[in-house]
Amino acid sequence: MRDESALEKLYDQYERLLYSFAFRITKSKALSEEVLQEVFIKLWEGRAVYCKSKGSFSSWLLTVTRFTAIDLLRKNMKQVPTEDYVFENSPSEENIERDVEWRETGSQLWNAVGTLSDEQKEIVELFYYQGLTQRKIAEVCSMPLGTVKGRLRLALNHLKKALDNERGVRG
Amino acid sequence: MNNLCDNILDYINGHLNTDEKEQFEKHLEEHPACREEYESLVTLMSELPYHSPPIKPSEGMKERILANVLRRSSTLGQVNTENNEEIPSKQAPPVETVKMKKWYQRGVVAGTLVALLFLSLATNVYLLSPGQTDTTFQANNVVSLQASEGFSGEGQASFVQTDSNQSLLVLANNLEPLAGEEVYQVWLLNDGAPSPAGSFKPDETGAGAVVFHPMPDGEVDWDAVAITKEPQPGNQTPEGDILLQNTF
Repeated sequence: MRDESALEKLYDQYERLLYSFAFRITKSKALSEEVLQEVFIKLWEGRAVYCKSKGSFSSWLLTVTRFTAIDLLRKNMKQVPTEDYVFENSPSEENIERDVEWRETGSQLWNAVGTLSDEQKEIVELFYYQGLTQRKIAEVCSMPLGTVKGRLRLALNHLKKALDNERGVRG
Repeated sequence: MNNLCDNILDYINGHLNTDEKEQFEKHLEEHPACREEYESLVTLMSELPYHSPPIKPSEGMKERILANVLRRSSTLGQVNTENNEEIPSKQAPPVETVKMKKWYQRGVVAGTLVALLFLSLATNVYLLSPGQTDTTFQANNVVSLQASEGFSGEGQASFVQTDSNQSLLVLANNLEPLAGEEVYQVWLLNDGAPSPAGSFKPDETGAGAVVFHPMPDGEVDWDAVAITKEPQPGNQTPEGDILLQNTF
């Protein structure tokens, strides 16, 4: 039996993180709201089902959000104008713990991403946030496919190492 | 380095077809170094969302979303968008398959019906042909099919209700040629579960059509339609990736 109060609790817990992540991908408030709605419809209808083998619940939910956002972005690419970022600095009162994790991990990521070259940032943006195939990235960047494959893996591995270093310095 | 290692990122982003995916998963089991890189990248992917600046939700968003989720939980949606989601199989209903040319050769009524339906000129199509009494066809849920990335095909689907029967009509064009036994397979989905609804091979212009009649169960509330490319006709569950799709 589906529990509406559980759905609302889950929504409250993840609204800001999922919405912000969706906005990071779509750069549109309207589309980000649509992404969240679609994600929660999938959860409610049981079309997206979590099991432990898929990692932590939050990671899995973020993955569902990412694929949903990329799908909707692709469908609406021609119609949706991009909007400027609107930062929110005040943490939400309901989810202090999640906000702390967000700020801490986010800060480490900002520093790690800062070690990437502009080309590496662009290639990661196209791969991760826009969900393009490596072949499409090769077209967009006018590079041979083999070059894209090598540079993308190098960029992501570099980012992982930079993130590990960041944690090592702080830990 | 094994060439299959190059597929690691397309695997993570869900861009491999079924065969490539299976091949890469086997490769992961046999190559610890690639497995280690894969796990490392998956961990990174799970952290990158936190690189998003906090954005204040729109006014009234929570109320709108929760109300919409509870009220019309199937009006939006994608078919099988997540990786690793299993699609349960269903009993195969009877299928009538026609090629585009044969479809049009069936006569003025069928040809006119298809043309009118998919030009979306009307949702109630009133047809009169020589030697026939007037017949009203009601086209429900005429939808344009959305192409997956990298696929240039187009299509439209609709349920057509006559006095006593309901059919599914699907038209597609700009389709890539097929090889060997391959077919384009139409699927009807209910809560993500696919049922085969006819297959076809495109003609030399890349166009093809399916009329699926009669519908297997008038009580089923079909919520989506999809087209895949299958290695052979008669599949009861999809093997190929979704090429065209939309919800009703």
